Amino acid sequence: MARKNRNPVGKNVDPEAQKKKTRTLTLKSSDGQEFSISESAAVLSIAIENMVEDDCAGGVIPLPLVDGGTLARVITYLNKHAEDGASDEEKRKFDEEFVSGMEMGVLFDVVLAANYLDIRGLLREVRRRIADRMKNKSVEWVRKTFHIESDFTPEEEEQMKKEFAWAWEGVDSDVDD
Amino acid sequence: MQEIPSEILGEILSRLPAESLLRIRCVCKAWRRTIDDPVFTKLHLRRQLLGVQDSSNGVGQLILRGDLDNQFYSLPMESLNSDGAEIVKASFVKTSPLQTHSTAKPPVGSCNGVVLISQSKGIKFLWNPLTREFHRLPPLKLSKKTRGLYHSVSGLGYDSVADDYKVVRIVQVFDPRDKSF
Repeated sequence: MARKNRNPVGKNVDPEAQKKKTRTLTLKSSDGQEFSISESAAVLSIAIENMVEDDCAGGVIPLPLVDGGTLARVITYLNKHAEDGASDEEKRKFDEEFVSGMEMGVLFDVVLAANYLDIRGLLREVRRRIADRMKNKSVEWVRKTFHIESDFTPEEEEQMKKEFAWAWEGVDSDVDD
Repeated sequence: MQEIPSEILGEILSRLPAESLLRIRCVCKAWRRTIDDPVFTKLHLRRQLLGVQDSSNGVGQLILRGDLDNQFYSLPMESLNSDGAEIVKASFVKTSPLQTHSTAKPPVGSCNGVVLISQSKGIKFLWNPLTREFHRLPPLKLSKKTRGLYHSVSGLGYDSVADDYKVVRIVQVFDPRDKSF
């Protein structure tokens, strides 16, 4: 895919950046919901940036792999990170709070969306959050949460458990989620 | 729910401490393959080493040696982040399958979290404190000429060309003719 030069010769950088802030794009979710977002926030997603640059946006950008609820969350994240004058510390705090309240199912949706839209910072944050939640959990909890059926025989499982029995000592109870 | 792509799953799992991974290997065969893959091991090591620099990641593990009992204990880094008088719990780790109280010895070398333990009678182990696995090294064979009295030093390092860990042992042999090493 040929990329257009973002700063053609003879054009000043600043007016272009200013234009991005005032220009709005419309993102359309898989379930047909439409969201307005400033171009400067939207292009924090590398995938959207490419679409805008290739001019295949045509006003409305369809995102068939992201549902409305997830897209709304992603847009909240993008807006914060495109905000003028938001300090790094402020963004860091926002990131932490942003993911801390999410249930595992929501985290999965957001991680898939961040991967598809290529939003590195969000992807990193959500991956870390998912890992934190898995840390002291039981095998059963992980299977249930990731919708995985075991393909080990009970004997194989017992054998693996025996091999590293001490690793089962610090497991949390599964009640909290 | 859509399935989580394997590269994202690998990235997530690489942030888990070794102890969690040893459990999570049992989730299903595909996950066990991912976790046992040497490529994943390297990714995990890189993250663990980063975690040591930035303990807020909470993946690092501290290995401590008691100066009275010579025993080893492990402690998750993140438990040191609590500000107050909270009691942190270190767990006892055996440093050798042959270990008794009197035989616990300080390690002679370590590299990327793998520790070289030398016991009496020249028995050597590689020890991974995070997975608590041991690997007994084959005994060193000295040529006929060098049999007899000798002393030696050993060390452990990573050979990036061979992509393997190597134990190096330098032996100084006693020469009975001029009664010197």
